[in-house]
Amino acid sequence: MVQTAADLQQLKGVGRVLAKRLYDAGFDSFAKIGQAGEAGLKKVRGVSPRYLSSIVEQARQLSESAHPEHVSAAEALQQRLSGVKGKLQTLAGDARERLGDRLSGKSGKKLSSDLVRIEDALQRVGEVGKKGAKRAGKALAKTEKRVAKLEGASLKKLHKGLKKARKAVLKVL
Amino acid sequence: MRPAPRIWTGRLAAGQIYRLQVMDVSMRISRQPQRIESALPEQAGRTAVKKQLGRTSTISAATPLWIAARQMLKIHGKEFFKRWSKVVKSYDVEEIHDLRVASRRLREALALFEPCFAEKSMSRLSRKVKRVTGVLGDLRNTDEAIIFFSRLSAEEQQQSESELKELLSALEKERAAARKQLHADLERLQPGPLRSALKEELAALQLFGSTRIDPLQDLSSFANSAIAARELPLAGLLPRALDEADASAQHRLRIAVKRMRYRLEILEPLFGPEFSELHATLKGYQELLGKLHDLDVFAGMLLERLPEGAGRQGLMQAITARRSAQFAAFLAMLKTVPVDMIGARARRAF
Repeated sequence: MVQTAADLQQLKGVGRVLAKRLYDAGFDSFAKIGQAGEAGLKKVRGVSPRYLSSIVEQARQLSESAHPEHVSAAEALQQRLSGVKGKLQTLAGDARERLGDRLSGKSGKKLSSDLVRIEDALQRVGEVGKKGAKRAGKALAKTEKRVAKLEGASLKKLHKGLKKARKAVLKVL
Repeated sequence: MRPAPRIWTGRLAAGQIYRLQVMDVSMRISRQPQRIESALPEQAGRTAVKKQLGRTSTISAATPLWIAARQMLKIHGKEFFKRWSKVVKSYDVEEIHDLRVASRRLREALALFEPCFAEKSMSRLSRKVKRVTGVLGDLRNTDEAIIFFSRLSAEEQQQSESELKELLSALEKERAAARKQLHADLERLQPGPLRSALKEELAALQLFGSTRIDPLQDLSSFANSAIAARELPLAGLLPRALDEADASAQHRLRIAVKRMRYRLEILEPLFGPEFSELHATLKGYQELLGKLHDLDVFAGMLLERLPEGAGRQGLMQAITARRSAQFAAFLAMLKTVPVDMIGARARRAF
């Protein structure tokens, strides 16, 4: 979906006037222009026959490139993030079961703080744009592995491991 | 010594006697100036929070409570401070209203997730936020009263022309004073320390050793009990609120409805399509009960500011007639969607 008629001017062969005509005729997305094809576009007054096929082709390319890749990169990042968060949750549950009473005092507060800080870092990674998504994905994969290894670890190792995992996440930022 | 309540008696459409205890109303005005409900929409803040939720969070029914609590509190905190800085820049009526609503939502979020943090830490924060809500109230009250009294019908205005003039000029003066006071108050209440305190408390979440709640449970199981907690006052307050003359019960019911509404708004990511209907119902109740309360406050203002006489009596009658109509609308709404059933419906909706 394009925001305004002016957005259609990204297509070579479409100027201000034609963009408005196309928009008014209901072509409010590149996908719609692509779907309408040459036959559909011919009905709009002012489309140069010379550019007809080129406009349709450009619109198809733009509609394909605008969405799927971007969405999939963002989605992949979110999935990866949920994975790491899931691992953290399992780790917290596991620690509570194993270490029980030892976590009621200072140690518990410290472990809580470790988990909260890494969750904060993950939250910030989730806000990176599509540019950083690939890099963030790699860092998250590393973090996930690190966190997974910590299951069954002692309290000391948990602190150290979570610190390392957080640093790995922060590198992305 | 506590003064005896002044009682104004009016006749309602159905022939019932309506006794307005003026002392109660005036006390409410001085103690709880922020209670006047606005005629302005509360949509802006909610939309901003929804956008923020959509952009940065992945909250769902399965999200662990400890993760959801911090994310939601962060979002509502951010919204509150954003609104605060806007008010300081413009002192615009709409911005003031949005800040008041944002502060209430943040307070409700603090109350909702309070068991995940150290005891009393959230209530301490909430008190600080409440101070901001409080300082915004006076200006809002006079604004609403000026709007109400200036929009009375021509006939009603004619009946009490000189009294109305006197009242409006007094209210205008009060508005100017309230505006001045608001500047001073907001300058005194700096957002920086509150922001740092919120950040600090959010970092001090208690994941282990809490006897009050399990922070590792998922959000949906927590939400169930959280909604049930707000459901009880609704059912408890309703019978008394059905008595038309019991303004204080209606006022308390309105507060309970409002709290339930904000709670549902905070937990919105959990709900399915039924949310909008539930939300609209609560909003409808809140508006109706809000108008009832506004009218009580306006009546109190009249009694405090105008001498006894035909003019004041005329304005009181105008208020009573409107109050009666609003109360009838409230009863009619109860027949369609009972307010005490909303909580149960909400709990079934996710």
